[in-house]
Amino acid sequence: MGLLRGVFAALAATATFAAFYLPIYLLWEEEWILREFEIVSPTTPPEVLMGVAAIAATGVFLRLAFASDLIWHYLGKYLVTIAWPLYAYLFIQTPGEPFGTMLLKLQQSPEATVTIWVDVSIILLIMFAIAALSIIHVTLQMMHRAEY
Amino acid sequence: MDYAATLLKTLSFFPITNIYLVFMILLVIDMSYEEYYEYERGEPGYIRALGLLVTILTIAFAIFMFIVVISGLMVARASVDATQQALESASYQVTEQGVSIPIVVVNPGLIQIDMVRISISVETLDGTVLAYGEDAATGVKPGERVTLTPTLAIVHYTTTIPQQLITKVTLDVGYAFNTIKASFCVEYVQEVV
Repeated sequence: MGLLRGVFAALAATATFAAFYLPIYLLWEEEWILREFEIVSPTTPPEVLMGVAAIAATGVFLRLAFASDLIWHYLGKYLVTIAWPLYAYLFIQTPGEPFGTMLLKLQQSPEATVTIWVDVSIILLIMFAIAALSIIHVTLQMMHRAEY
Repeated sequence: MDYAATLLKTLSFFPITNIYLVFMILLVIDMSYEEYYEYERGEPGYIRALGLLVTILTIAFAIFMFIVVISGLMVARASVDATQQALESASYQVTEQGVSIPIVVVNPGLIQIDMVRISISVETLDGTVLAYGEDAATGVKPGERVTLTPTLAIVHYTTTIPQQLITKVTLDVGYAFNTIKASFCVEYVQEVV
C-alpha cells in the first residue's frame, strides 16, 4: 500500500516538474524562444508563471513530505488544486484582452500582418469550476478528519 | 507571403499544452488513488461521492481537452491554408452582386466545427470599408469539405482614389461545442498604382 502510494506521489511530482518547471525554465532561461515564437505574451512576466509553478511544487512537496500530518497534507492539496487552473489562465491570457483570450500578432512583412485570436474563456471557466468543487471536497475531508 | 512562420507560431503553443495534459492525466491517477485511500479510512458517503464526481469530471475534461488539442492543431493548419487560398489562389468570378471568391474549407479535426465564417474586406488606411463580403457555414463534420463563396460588393463609394488599400481576410471558427473560438486575420497593405 505504502509503496503504491509512493509511486503515485512520485508520478504526480514528476508530472508537476514536467508541466510547470520545464516550459517555464525554457522561457525564463532561453529568452530567445519567448521572443521568437511569442509563446506567451511578452508583457506577461515569466517570473509570474514561475511563481505559480513554485506554488504547485510546494504543494506536491508538502503532500509528499508531510503526508501523515493533516494540516500540511491538506494545505498541499489546496496548493496543487489552485495552481493548475491558475497556471492555465496565466499561460493563455493576453494582458489587456478579455478573460481567457490569447492574441498573437505577426508582422509577416511590411505589407502583411497576421492576427490570430483564440477565445478559450469557457474552458477556463470549466477548469476553475472543477477546481472549486475540488477545494470544497478537500475542505469537507479536512473537517471530517479533524473530528477524529 | 510566408505563412510558415504563422503556422509554426500557432503550433508552438500546443507542445506545452500537451505537457499540461500529461500533468492532468497523472493528476487524475493521483486523485483516483486518493479516493480509494480515503475510502479505506471510512469517509462519509457524501464526501466520497463528491470526490468521485470531481474525479469523473476531471477525467471527462482531460479526454475532452485531448481531443480539442489534437483537433485544434489540425483546424489551425486548415484555417491558415484557407486564408492563404483566399489571398493567393482563389478563382474570382464577377457576378452582378460583386466579385465572388470561392474558398474551400476542410475540417481535418476529430470533432465537428460548429461555425466557420470567412469575410473579405477592402478598406482605406483610415478604416473606411469600401467593399465587403462574407459567407458562413455551420456544422461542418470531421472530414467534410465545404465551399464558402463570399461576394465582395461595394459598400462605400468614394470620389478620391486612396493611395493605399488594405485587403483583410478573416476566418472565424467555433468548435468543440463553441467552447473555443478562433479568428485568423490576414491584413495586406497594397499601394494603388
